[in-house]
Amino acid sequence: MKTYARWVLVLTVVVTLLIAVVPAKRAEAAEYPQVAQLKEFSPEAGYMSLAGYLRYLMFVQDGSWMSRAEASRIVKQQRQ
Amino acid sequence: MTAPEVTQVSGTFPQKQSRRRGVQVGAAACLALLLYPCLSLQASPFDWEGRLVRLAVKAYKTAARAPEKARAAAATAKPVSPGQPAWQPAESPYGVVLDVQSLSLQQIPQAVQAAHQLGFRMIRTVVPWDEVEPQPKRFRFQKYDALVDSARSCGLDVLLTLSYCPPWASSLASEPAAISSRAMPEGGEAWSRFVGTAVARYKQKVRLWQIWERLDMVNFRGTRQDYAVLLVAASKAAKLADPLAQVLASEPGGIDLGFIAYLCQPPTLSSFDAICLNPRVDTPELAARYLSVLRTILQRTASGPSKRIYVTDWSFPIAHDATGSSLPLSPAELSSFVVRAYAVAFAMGAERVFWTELRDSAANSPRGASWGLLDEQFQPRPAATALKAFFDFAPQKLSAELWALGDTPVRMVSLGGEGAAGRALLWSATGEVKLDPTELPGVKLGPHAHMWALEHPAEDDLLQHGDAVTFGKTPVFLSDVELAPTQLSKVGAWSASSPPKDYVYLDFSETTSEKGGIASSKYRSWRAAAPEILSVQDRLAAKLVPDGQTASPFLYCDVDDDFLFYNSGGSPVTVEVTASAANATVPAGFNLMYDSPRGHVFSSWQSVRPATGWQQYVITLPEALFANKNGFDFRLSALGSKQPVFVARVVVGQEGRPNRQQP
Repeated sequence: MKTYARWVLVLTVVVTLLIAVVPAKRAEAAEYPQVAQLKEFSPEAGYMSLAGYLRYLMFVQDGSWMSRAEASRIVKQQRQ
Repeated sequence: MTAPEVTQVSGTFPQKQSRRRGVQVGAAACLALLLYPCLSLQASPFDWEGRLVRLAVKAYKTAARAPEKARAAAATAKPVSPGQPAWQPAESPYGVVLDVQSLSLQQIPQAVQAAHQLGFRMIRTVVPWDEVEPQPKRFRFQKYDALVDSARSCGLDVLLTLSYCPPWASSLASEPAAISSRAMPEGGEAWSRFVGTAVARYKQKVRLWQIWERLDMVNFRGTRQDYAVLLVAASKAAKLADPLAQVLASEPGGIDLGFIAYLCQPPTLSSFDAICLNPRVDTPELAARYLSVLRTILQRTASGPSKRIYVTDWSFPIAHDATGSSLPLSPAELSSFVVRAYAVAFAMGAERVFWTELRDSAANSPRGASWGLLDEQFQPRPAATALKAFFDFAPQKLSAELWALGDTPVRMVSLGGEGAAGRALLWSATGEVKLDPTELPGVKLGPHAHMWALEHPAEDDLLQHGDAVTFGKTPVFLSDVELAPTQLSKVGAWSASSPPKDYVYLDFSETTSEKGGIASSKYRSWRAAAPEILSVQDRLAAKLVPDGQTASPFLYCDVDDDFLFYNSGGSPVTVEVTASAANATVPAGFNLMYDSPRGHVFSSWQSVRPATGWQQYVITLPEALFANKNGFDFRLSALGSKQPVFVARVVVGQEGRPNRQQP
């Protein structure tokens, strides 16, 4: 049990470090679409939250997923 | 030089990250402390547990001290005293981008010297904030000191682009470095201090300061409101440090006219002196339309000195598809491209033009692209030789104009300026055309007229042969000519050669479905944008499947620019979609995402009446701009539909134009 817990701990640290140092894939999009005007969880937003819909749209454009925190910040900024 | 204005912007720098980061680190520390007794691990040679706990405690203490450090790190740029001599730049329009980060300290003078020998008089480079100030107030300017000193010793001007955010100042500090370095700084103090420090360091040596690299997602993870905040803060800090500093604004790439129009209004209007462009057109001539409209925007909005146009990054277009690859060009094609790029940009009002890269390196050649004029060993490529020939042919202080010769496809850039009167470059914008040089419309050859091809020695005079000359994409040089403007049309206020259309359309049932003025097939390599074309109810139609992971819910459309381009303030645009859906019991529908002055926005959701055959659905777009943002004008999306939607025909019209319906 102790060995198992140790390996979980080590694995967690390694994965965290890997995520931190591996660069994201290049993206080419120019600007975020203005999703804040949409009604979330409706057909026009693909039945997603606005942050989720923005993440999907940016994946379509760039092939990489932006984080939920970043998407939420952009939606909040667009609402201002 | 007017004093910098104090402006207010609606947005602000992100402010809450310190507290959030502190909470996150604190939580991590607490978790580690809680886990420690639970795990009851035995001591090991590596002492993982102890190290983790110490790391967490140290991180928590660092986060707790962050606000104090931020307050202590107030902007330190000092205002300059009046009466200092104005520094005079070389005022040459020819520039190139140099990736200083890819060079060693010893290679920088070699690169600068190579640029000088090729005829360049300006160098632009990015000063990455995250590299220069990896820790607060600990600066590493050595490479940029070497660049500036080397450039001055050669008589070259330098344009520095301040960009990228160090992790300690990032509003997305918890993200990977590739994201956090492209995010907005947290709070404005550190950013202003960095700008002020850099500008003050190179005062009287560097006058041109671009604020952030091209604003695409590769370089900037913020909104246009975020950039406005960055720009205003940087402008204040730069002009405080050096009143002679020129602040240059960036755009997202592709000459994003809607974005630039946004910057050309208060409060950002007074915060920059020039706009920096990154054209991404398949051929340089296509940039003329954008630059023509841009000049109109700048003239319309300039309330003080007019804004100047700098093409700070002319590169090949990057495909917006799943590969993101660049267009492959042969050495000859590259030579032709770069010469036409510089000539067209100057003719359309750009004061300075920078090719995207002086030298190839693994770092600046994504996906194997070779955009450099020199190879990695600093040896010139054919494009460098071609560009040198153009620089030798054109004056350092030049004026230029772009002309269309009668109804031929030949384009001509006439050069003006000291020692260059009567000189011109000619090429064909579309394919090859054979013409008698003595009968070129609007061109009168002088007694000492001389014509030679770019790829051949100047001594090889094409006029001596007495034959017709084949004009292709590669320019020919012509000297001692007079122009007859009555037979020429200036390419500026672009006009279509064909009569204006009442509407444009895309109909999949037509064998040449895109002759109607809406292009779609060129986007089929894009992600989720290759709908199956099949026969439905006696018509060919695109099947939009509402499953973004495996199928294609999108249909991209590009409206002929001769029909509609930059419809700012124009009448609303109407889009009529002929669509159907099969299953009577399942909802169906679509909406549009389209180019507007606010960026890409969405139409209202349009329900499709299922099992009723082909029906026309008209959507009115009150603020359609259609200036090819991201390479397209609008996109149909059936992502929110519960069943596939079939689209047979799309018609785009504009209110006020007659006969929108098909004949």
